[in-house]
Amino acid sequence: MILNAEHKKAEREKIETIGFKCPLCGGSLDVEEGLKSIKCRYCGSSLYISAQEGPANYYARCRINEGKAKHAAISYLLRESSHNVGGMNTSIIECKLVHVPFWRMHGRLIGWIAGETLEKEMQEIEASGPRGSAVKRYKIGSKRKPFSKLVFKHIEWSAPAAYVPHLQMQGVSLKATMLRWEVLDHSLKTRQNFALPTMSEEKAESDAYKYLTKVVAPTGTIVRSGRFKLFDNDISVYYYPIYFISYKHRDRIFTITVDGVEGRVMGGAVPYKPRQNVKNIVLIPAAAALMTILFPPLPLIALGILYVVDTLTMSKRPAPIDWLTARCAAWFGEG
Amino acid sequence: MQVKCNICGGINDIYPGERILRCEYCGNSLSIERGKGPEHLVLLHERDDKMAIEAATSFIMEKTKRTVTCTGTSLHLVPFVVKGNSPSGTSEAATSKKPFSGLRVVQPAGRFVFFEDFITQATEGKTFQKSDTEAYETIRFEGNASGALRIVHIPIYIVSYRCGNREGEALVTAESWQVTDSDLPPAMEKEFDTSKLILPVSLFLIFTAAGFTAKSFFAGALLVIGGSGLSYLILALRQRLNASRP
Repeated sequence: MILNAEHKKAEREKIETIGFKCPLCGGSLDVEEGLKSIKCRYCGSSLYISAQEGPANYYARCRINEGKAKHAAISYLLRESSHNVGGMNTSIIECKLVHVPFWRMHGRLIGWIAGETLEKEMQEIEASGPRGSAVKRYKIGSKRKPFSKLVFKHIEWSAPAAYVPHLQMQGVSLKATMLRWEVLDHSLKTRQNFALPTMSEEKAESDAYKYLTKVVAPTGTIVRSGRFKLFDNDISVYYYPIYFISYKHRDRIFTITVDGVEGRVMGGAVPYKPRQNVKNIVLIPAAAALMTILFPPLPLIALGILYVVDTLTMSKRPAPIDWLTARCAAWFGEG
Repeated sequence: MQVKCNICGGINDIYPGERILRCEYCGNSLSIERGKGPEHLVLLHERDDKMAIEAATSFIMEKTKRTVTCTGTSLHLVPFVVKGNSPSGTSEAATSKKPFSGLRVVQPAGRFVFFEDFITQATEGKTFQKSDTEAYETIRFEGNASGALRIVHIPIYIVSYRCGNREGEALVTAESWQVTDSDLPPAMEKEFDTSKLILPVSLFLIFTAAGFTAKSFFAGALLVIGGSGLSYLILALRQRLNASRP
């Protein structure tokens, strides 16, 4: 092990603390993460916090124990594989509770958009009838109309803040209001499994902004210009508990994810067992037998035609025996 | 890691990602100013060679359809720079040492501690056992961390394997068990098992014989159609029974 002594020293020197004090009366302030403005409890003045206060962090407590999560995963596995995966060759090798981060933004969006709407309308066209007579025909056409709109909207946006393979959820916006979220104690990160955000706050904010400005446009419109302002907006990180259960089936590892709050299976991989196609096994010999009864060399002729058709588009024609093996594998092999 | 309160001088513990802290002694709120550099963390991991071998075997088997024998493992603590705007969510190894240079992995989930704590506490044997750190070979950080979200040291296993007459090395990320191998042996062509032909060929012979014994072509055709329907039913039923057997 190489101890990186210079680095160690640099790290210690870099970190400083700044105590929050009211600039007017000097009283100490009780500031929390994510807070942008505060009222001094001594002199009552309103203050704006300009420090790197960081986003607020919340987490939902896991309500499902490991046993329940495993049970949900096993019943999912049995159901999805239609009882194909027996206990003989399958074993759970890892069951891990991970807190997965999401960015969540709420606030208000105000602005205006201008552009065009496309309206569908019936258009009359002249056409010639069967015996040279003129008839009226109708066609659905679209007409453009200019429009402008004022937008004032309460917004709620969320997206995963870290990329976790097998993650089957898009956001927690709906659940966020239903669950009891608790303020995260950062020391938990050294004791429990956390997926740390890999998307920065700036990136999340710009993504949210892009998404929201797209959403405000009514359907069927083309927005040519717009101007928006986000205010009262607040971006925070929400950690949601998810169980990752890995199991081994015939030396292959698969993963199933289970929601740590509801105990629902969110998704997972199930081993695929190849099967022979019964239809081909019966129908192809039957067809060949019918042809033989009709005229004995007929199956050979049919096979020849099939060879030519199969290899017609190929640049290099394979040897008939190779082609026959490939054909037999496609017809009677497992897959 | 510990920081000093600039109001009362008390020493407080801080944890990864923390920005605001309440001083244990004077109760003041403190903002933690990190200067320009990103956080420097370590993913805690207990060495598990068996799991690394299983993950590598599973990956190579899936990709190549060949049998694999693993011959050895080694564990390295590799620094990665996590940039906040990578669309695929992967980060690149910040080292020029082979085979890690250019390696891209998804940051695994797990327990994180400050790099400094990891070193001091490991040497003092407080939280982590001494054997934990001796299990690793630490790769020195070489790279540019400006604008990064954090630098994370992630344990990476090198699993050497033999596949046929070929030897290779696969890199296995600890905790997420993601496997990367840029030099995989080519996938084995699926060979057709000729024993699978026994059933169709014998069916063909039975049908043809039955067809020829019939007096007219139509009677023969009826026999073949009836026979094929019956054999289809039997085979489908057998397959379903096989599938439902636990």
